[in-house]
Amino acid sequence: MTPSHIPSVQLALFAGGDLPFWTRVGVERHVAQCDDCAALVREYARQQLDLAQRAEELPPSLTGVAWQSLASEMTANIRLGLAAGACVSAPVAARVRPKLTFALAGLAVILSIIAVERPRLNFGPRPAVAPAPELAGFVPMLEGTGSSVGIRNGGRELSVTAPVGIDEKSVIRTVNARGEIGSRYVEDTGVTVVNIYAE
Amino acid sequence: MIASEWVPLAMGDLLDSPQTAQDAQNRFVSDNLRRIFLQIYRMVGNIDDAQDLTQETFIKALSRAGQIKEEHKAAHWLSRIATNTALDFLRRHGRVSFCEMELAPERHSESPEEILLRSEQQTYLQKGLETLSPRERAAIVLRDMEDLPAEEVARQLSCSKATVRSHIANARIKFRRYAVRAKR
Repeated sequence: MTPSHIPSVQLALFAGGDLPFWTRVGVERHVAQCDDCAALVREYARQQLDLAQRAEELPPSLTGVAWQSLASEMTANIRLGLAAGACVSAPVAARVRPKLTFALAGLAVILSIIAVERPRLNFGPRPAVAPAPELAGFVPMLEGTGSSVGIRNGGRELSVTAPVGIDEKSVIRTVNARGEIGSRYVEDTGVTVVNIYAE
Repeated sequence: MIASEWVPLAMGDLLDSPQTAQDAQNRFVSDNLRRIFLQIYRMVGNIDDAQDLTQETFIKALSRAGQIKEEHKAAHWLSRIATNTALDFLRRHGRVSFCEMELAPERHSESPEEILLRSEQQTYLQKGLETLSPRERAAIVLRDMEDLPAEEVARQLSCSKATVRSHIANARIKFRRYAVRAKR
């Protein structure tokens, strides 16, 4: 029985030693027995050798002085290109380590955030502030009367009254859970909102 | 083989003092110019384009000399830049135009018959390469003419070993068919 021939692709690769080990073993065994495939392998090997021998040959028009001249021209152009590149490129900064740069940048961002947000962040119990002597024993009372809102304690009083001409029925007074009292009314110039609270 | 003559580049020199760097650059160019020019010429098929692309390759390589860490791989690295530059060019232009600047051989040691024979052989070689696709051409130039291992060819063409084997096999088969036709 005559074994079927090896595909050309495998023979072409076999001739150049480019087949994987096990495939190469199989092809080798076949080629040893098959004259046709062996001839083809020899042809591919010859072709490969021929190409390798011509690798260094310059084109016919570039032999001798012509090549020297072209090589000089290319060398000069390469120098010119590099010089031009050096002129237009930005000055190279000192070599920095990327990891260190990222770490420092991250640290800077964190410190900035802390500096900006510090007043709003609660880092622990705030120190108690002693009330001013004149305010000691102060028990404030917020009240709204007619068109005014105010705060009062004992003989001291602060009130904000709506301007003359504002109907007291149109004044909206509000009291909220935060201990604020407010009034809202409409003037010619717009809406006025007054909020009074004790601290 | 060209590959055996590859000159390892002392890349450290390129980053040294200006004078040392300049000398290293000049040496690097003169040692590799012919090899890179021929590699590109085989791929693009004409001298004018090969000249431009060779210059471009060296400018790219020398501008990025700091990128290479292993000096003994400098020649392969340069070759890879040349391959990519040539393939990019072929992709942009979509064709190869095989032509010579002029047929004015100047090697005085050769007889007219020898010059004619060599010229015919070169034309035969270039026309054979013309029958291949750009990637097949690159593969056979790097594998069979520059004697690079298939793994390195795969790296240079940014494809798998299986794909590069396919390119190499197709290129050899097509080139053989061309050779058979040319002999008739």
